Amino acid sequence: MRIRVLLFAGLRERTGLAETELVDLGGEATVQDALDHLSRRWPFLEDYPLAVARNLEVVNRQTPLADGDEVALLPPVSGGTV
Amino acid sequence: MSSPAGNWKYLTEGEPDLSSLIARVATTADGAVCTFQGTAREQSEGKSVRSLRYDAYHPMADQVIQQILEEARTRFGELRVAAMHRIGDCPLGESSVAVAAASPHRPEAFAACRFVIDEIKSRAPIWKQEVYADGTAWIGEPEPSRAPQSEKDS
Repeated sequence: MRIRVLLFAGLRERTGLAETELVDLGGEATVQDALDHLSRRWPFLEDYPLAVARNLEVVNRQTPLADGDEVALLPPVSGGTV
Repeated sequence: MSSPAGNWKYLTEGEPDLSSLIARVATTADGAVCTFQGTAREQSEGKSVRSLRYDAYHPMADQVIQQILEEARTRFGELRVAAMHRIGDCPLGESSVAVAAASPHRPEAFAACRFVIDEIKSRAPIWKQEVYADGTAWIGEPEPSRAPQSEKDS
């Protein structure tokens, strides 16, 4: 399946990319599988406190992905601790 | 890069227009209109800020702000409420976010205004960058040096 991955703010700065694509995920992939793939490319992601949105909704790591999904990696927001 | 903010209902590239928000919510049924504006402050944890910059996941931010406004209407009874968040550059002293809430009585207007700004700040995918004389920083971003186990082998 093909997944479009969007990056924002500090993640965009650290990776130098606003978006990328995952094309080599298996048919039964979850959000965690996508993150594992991305962590191989950017090891800092493994410990980075990000939230994940799938097609505009925040989802957990066990959520299954489908071909054509848009997955956004969301860094902590500025007012998150207020 | 990103689409113009004009495509979005709750995002704007200029200063949010508080008076147009008030005009949208206030009716003759209301005895109270409460407003909030977030403005760009020159000091941040001892650092001198030159300006702010906001990045957003535009379609999701728009959707989340709409959900928050709907939640406020459910929570605070007879209420008219509107909000607008700025995206892009925000000079010092200018506002980056505005909320207006109108209700027959002031407790609901105050509470709704507070609820909406707090929820936007914690839930909307909008990120603030401070611009200093000698660099920039994304607020909320973990320090690379403090990220645990960042050196570990995979």
